[in-house]
Amino acid sequence: MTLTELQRLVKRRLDEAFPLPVWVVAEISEMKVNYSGHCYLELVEKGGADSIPQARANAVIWRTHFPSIATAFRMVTGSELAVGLKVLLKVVVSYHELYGFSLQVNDIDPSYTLGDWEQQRQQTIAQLQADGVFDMNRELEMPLVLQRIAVVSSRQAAGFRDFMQELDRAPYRFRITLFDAFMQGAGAESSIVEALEAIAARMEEFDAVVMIRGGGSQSDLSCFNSYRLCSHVAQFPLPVLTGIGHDKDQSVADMVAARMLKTPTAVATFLVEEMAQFDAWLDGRRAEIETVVSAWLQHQRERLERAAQGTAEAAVGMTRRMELRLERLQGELVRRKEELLIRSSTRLSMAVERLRERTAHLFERQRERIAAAEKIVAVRRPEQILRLGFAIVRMGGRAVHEASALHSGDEVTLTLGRGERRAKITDHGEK
Amino acid sequence: MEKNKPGYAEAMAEVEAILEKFNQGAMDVDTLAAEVRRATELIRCCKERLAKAEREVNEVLNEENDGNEKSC
Repeated sequence: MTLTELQRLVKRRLDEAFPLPVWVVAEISEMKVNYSGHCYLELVEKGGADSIPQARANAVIWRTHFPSIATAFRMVTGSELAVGLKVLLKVVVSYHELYGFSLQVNDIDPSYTLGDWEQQRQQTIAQLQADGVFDMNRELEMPLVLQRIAVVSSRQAAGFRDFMQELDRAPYRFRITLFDAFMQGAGAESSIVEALEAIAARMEEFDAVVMIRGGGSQSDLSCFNSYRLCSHVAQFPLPVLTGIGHDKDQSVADMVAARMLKTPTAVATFLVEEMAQFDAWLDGRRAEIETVVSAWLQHQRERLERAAQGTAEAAVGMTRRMELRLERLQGELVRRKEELLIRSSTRLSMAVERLRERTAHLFERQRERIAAAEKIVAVRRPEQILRLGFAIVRMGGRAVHEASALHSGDEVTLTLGRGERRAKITDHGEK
Repeated sequence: MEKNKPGYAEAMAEVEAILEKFNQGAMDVDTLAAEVRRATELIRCCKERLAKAEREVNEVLNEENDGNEKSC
C-alpha cells in the first residue's frame, strides 16, 4: 500500500464516521486570518487546573463563512473572536491526503461563549466571596485627594490617550505613572497582575490605581473575570478605579473595584470631579474660616469699641467726679477762708489788745525807770547837797579834796547853799 | 547839740552809767554837777521820747482796731 492509498483509506473511513457536521467545544489557542480571507485556528482543550492542553486540532473558517461568523459572534458577545476564547463550533471533520486532519468550521454559537463567561464570572464571584475579599477594595476609604495616580493600561491604547487628554483639559494637575500592560489577549491577565504587583511595591507613592482599556477590539474581557486578576484587585491596598470600557455585563474586576466607571474618559472625569469637590471643600472651609475669623474680628472690634466707649464714659465720669470734688473743695475753701478771716481778725484784735497792754506795761516800766533815775539824780544835785549845809572849797577854781592841800595863808572860795564867800587859811594844819 | 540827741536806749544807757558812777562815789563835785545836769537833760529827753512813742503806738493800735483794711 502506498502512503496515498493509506491516507485515502483514513479519509474514507473518517468521512463515513462523520457524515454530518458536529458541534464541538474548544478554546482558541491560535488564530490567523491570511491574505485571502481564510481564518486558520488552533483549537485546544485544557484539562484540570494546570491548564495543560490535553487535545489539540487545527481548524479553518473559509472566507465564505468567516465574515458572517465573526460578525454574528461580535454582535452577540460584544467581543471579537480571539485567542483564549472558549467557543462552541460546528465543524466538519475532514482529512486531506497532503495536509492531514483538519476541522472545517461552518458556524460558531456565540451563546456558548457567553454562558462560559457567565459561568467563569459566577465562579470567580463565589470564590472571592468565599475568600472573604470581595468587598475589601470597595471598603477602602477613598483619599480626600486623588492626585498621584498609578495607571494600568497600554501605552498605545486609545483609552489611555482619551484618559490623558481628559485630564489635560482639567484645571488641576495630576501625577500620572503608567504601568504598561497588555490589556487584551492571552497574556493580559498575567501582564495586568504583574503591573498591580509593581504598583503595590511602591504603594506609598500613589493615592489610587486606575485600570483602563478601551477602544479597539472588545474581545476577550474574560481576563477581567478571572479569579487571579480579580483577587488581586479586590485585595489591592489602594483604591482601584476601573474604566474597562464595555457596556455588556459588569466584569468581576468592575464589581470588586473601589469605583467602576464605563470608560477611561469617565475615570478621568471622575478624578477631576473629585478634585473639584476637594477644591470646593477647601473653598468651603476657607469660607467657614473667613466667616469665623470675620465674626471673631467683628466681636473683637465691638469689644474694643465698647471698651473705648467705656473708657470715654469712665473718663467723663471721673472728670465729673473730680469737678464735683473741686467744687466742694472750692466751697470749703471759701468757708474756711471766711472762718479763717473771722478767726484772724479776732486773733488780730486780741493781738492788738495784748500789744496795747504790753506797750502800756513797757511804757509804764520805762516811766518808772526814768522816775527812779530822776529821783536819784535829784538827790545828787550839788545845790541840794549844799542846801544841807555842805560847802565846796575851791582854790584856783579847783575843788579841794584834802586838808593837807591847803597851807596857811592860802585863799579859797567857799560855795554854800546860797552864795559864795572868800576865806583865808589861818592854821598850819596838823602834822 | 540838739540835732545830735541820742536815741532813747542810748540815753537811758548813759543815764544808767551816770547812776552807776554815782553809786561808786568816785566823782568830783564839779564833775558831779556836770553829770547831774547831763543826766537830767537825758532824762527829760527820754521822757519826751517815751511820751511821743506812747502817743504814736496808741495811735497805731487804735487805727488797727477800727480800720484794719486801711493799708493791707
